[in-house]
Amino acid sequence: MVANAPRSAVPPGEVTALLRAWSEGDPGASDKLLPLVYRELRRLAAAQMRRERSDHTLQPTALVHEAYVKLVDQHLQWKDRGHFFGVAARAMREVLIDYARRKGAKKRAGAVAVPIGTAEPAVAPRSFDLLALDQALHRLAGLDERQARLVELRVFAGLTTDETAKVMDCSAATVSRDFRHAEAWLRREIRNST
Amino acid sequence: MASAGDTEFDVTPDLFRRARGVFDQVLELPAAEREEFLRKACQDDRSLREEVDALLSESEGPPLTREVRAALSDLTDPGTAVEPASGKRIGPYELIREIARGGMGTVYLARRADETFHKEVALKLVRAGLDAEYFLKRFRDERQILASLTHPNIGALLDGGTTDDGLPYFVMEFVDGRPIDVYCADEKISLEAMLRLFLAVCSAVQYAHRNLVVHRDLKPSNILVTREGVPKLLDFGLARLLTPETGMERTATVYRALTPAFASPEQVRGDPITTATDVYSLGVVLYVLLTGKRPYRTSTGDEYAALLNAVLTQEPRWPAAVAPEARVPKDAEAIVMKALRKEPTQRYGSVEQFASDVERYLDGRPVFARRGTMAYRARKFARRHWVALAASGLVAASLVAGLVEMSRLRARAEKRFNEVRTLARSVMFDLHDGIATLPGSTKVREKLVKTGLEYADALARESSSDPDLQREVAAAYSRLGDVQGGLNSNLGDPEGAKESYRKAIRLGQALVASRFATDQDRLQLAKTYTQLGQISGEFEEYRKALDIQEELLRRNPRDDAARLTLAATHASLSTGWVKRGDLVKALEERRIAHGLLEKLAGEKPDDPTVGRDLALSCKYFGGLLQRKDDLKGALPLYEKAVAIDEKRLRANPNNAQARMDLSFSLGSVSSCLSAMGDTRSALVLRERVVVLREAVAAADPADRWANVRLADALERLGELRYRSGDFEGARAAFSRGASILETWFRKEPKNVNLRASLAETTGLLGIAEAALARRGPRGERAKQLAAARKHLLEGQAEFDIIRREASIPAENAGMPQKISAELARIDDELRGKQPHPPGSPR
Repeated sequence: MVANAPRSAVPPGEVTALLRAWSEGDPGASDKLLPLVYRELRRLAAAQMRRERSDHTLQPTALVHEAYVKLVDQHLQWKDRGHFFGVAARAMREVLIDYARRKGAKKRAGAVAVPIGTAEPAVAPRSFDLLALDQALHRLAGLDERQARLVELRVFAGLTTDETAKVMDCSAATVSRDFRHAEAWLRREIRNST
Repeated sequence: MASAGDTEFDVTPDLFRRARGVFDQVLELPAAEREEFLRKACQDDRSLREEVDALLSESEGPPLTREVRAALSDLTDPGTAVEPASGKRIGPYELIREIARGGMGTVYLARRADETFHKEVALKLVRAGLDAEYFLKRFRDERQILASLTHPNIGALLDGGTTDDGLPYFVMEFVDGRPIDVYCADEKISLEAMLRLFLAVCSAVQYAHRNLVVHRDLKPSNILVTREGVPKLLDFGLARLLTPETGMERTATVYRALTPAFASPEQVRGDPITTATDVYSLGVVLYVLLTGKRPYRTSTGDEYAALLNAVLTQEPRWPAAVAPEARVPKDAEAIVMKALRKEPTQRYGSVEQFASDVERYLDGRPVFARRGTMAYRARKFARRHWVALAASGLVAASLVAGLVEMSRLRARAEKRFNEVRTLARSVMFDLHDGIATLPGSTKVREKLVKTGLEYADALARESSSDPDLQREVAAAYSRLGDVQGGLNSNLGDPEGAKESYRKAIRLGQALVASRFATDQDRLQLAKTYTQLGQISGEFEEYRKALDIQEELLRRNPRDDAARLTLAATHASLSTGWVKRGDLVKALEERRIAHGLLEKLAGEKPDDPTVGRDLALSCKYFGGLLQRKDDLKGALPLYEKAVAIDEKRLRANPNNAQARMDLSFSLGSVSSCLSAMGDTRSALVLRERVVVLREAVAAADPADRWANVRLADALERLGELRYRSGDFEGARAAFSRGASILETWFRKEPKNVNLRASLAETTGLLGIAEAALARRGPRGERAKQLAAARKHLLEGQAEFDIIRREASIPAENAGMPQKISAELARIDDELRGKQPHPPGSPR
């Protein structure tokens, strides 16, 4: 059916080693991680999409966790695991935006023009604009980097409030409050930009 | 970095920070105070006020995560190129062509590539998101059970594995058919024929449940009907195999695997799956068949999430409203809506009951769905669910699995551990009652005990520093001991029971000796000693229990729970003495118990538990006196029991237990009066007993105990009628009793007591028929005597079987002789000799 592909594009030990190196204080290790994780996520996403039907779709949470299972040695401390998720969330965001760009372009090619300036108000686009979200996130990062990371973890890595709190080393209540604000802010930004 | 003045949308860091502060504070306030606070906080700063207002208006929207998911969903292009399947190899199979695409994956027509005879099979390739090794292991474990499901209406599972890519696949019997809703619409099937199809489906599901498999994903596309009109169910148990039990992948997989229109509320919530889930899904299938529509409607938008929400919170639309042209009969409507209740306990307790109601509708009989829900029935359903659930090993297995994982990830799993324990507690505690009413499935009970013990042993190992856990495990062992001890005489594993009780006692002793000990712990330990005493016959255990209880009472003389259990211990001792044959000591203990209860009842005349215990004590006490032929002493006790039970029943007219209790009290009075020679009054009372037990048996035809006791009452009624000369009435009573016993005996052919009761009632039936024959016209006599003879011979044959394999129970000891005597008489009469002087069966 499909050509024999290796179980993982990245040898499992490599990511663990990088995470350990990072926790031991090597800042460069973090930079090397992102491309690795990104590669793996793209591979997994592509595999998933080949077999997807129209009513089920990319599941970022599942993908990130799948990548985690494939890439990381399970006996890591939470601190290092948390770091992985931070990176993976970032990578997942890249994968999704990339995907949205490609697909979105195809769709727009066949789009029907929506009349504006008539007596009836223009119908708001049904679908949530991922690209707008990405840009809004960039802007948020400029104002409050922590919040942006938090949103990535919750939305793109699909971590729960508790898990996010562990990764970011703060309380769950803080995470909730931060996220509540970030959500509202992002939505406002998106609304203003469309 | 955003710089001020780029566009009008850019927010300065300072404004951002300030607006954030106000926003957070406003949301902590109740709605009424918000406007006031905003005015004060923002004062003249218009841009701040605008910013905060904008944020607040956005804070009510749908969660970001859901929006992102929906956006991704919208992006997926349905026309994605598909790789042609024909000729591809998957494991030892070669694909022929694609048959269908479903929520779980794609189905292909395939055949084995390496065999000369090319039998066609269906190969289902499941989409990604699973750890292949994990899946393979689970498939190997489950395969036995799933592959063993052999039923004409279930598509057989033949094989399974994973591809090189790590995708799981299943190989199944190829079923050439249409989904059941399509079939019914195409062939314009009548309502009755459709319901009969549905009944066939139900029987398949019920079969699977008996074999401990829940389907979890029943829907019309999983129920294909062949050209010949035979329904076949597909994908049994696959949903479970594909769902990781624990861990991070679970949420995503569960979310993905749900078919929202057919998923039950508990599935959507992620609660444990039970047979009730299948009942619900079958309900949706029936709904679709009846109306052609789905039960929930959503406005357009995020279909998936909105549907899930509807399943949880919306009431299903009434068939009459949603499809008036279908003219769904009221009864069918009620049946469907009952199966669709959100609370599993409010639905049918089993697929069997669901099917019975459909059958009742087809027979023109009243359906249960339209009666009011009795609290008793709801309770029974709940028990039955837990038993089925625990019996299927699903809970216990995931408990143990969850437990093992927990010990490795302590901190994180703390919350889940508590959930697991709460679940375990409710399983174990509802077990006890549910077990007693489970008809004959010994295998189920054995599995229950086995997995229950594994669970308890596993938890015990973890428990040494955790008194709460110790308490739970001790209670669990105690319950297990009850089950092993054999509530029905069939599953008796007294050694196992003793072992379990001893484990419970060890834990209890440790608890009581520790600094966490409470009086409740002491009471529980005393109770376990009593249980061990009951099964081992060792009175030493009772003494230990009494020591504890008396000490507790000395410290808290007003403690009612302690007084009740002290009375219970003396009562158990009394029963123990009866078993040893010492009626004098038995009476002694009984008097103590009775005295305690009377005192309590005097102080708390309205307490139902005390009332019930006192009534029971009256019956036992009276029974002891009756055995010593002190009928005059026994009667007032029985009458007191009747008074208490009548009061209880008046207070709870729907309580089946109270009804049965009253029937026993009346029965005791009846037998006492009968022994005193007052057959008339005994007869009247016995009629009442029958009426009461009929009511209970009619409310729950699957209640074995009620039915067998009803047969018992009918037998005694027959005897009394016979004695009064009402042979026709006697015949009717014996006939009915025998047919009830026959029904239940068929389910438990190894049960000696049932066989003996059946033999006795059949014999009595023959005797009554003979008496009738003699009274009747001469011309009919020979024929009627022959019929009577037939029954007598049947009874005799059954007794012979019993004698061969075991021994005749004491209470039936006199019957074989009576049967022989009557047979001899009939033979003489049929040969033309003079009739003997009339005898009597008692």
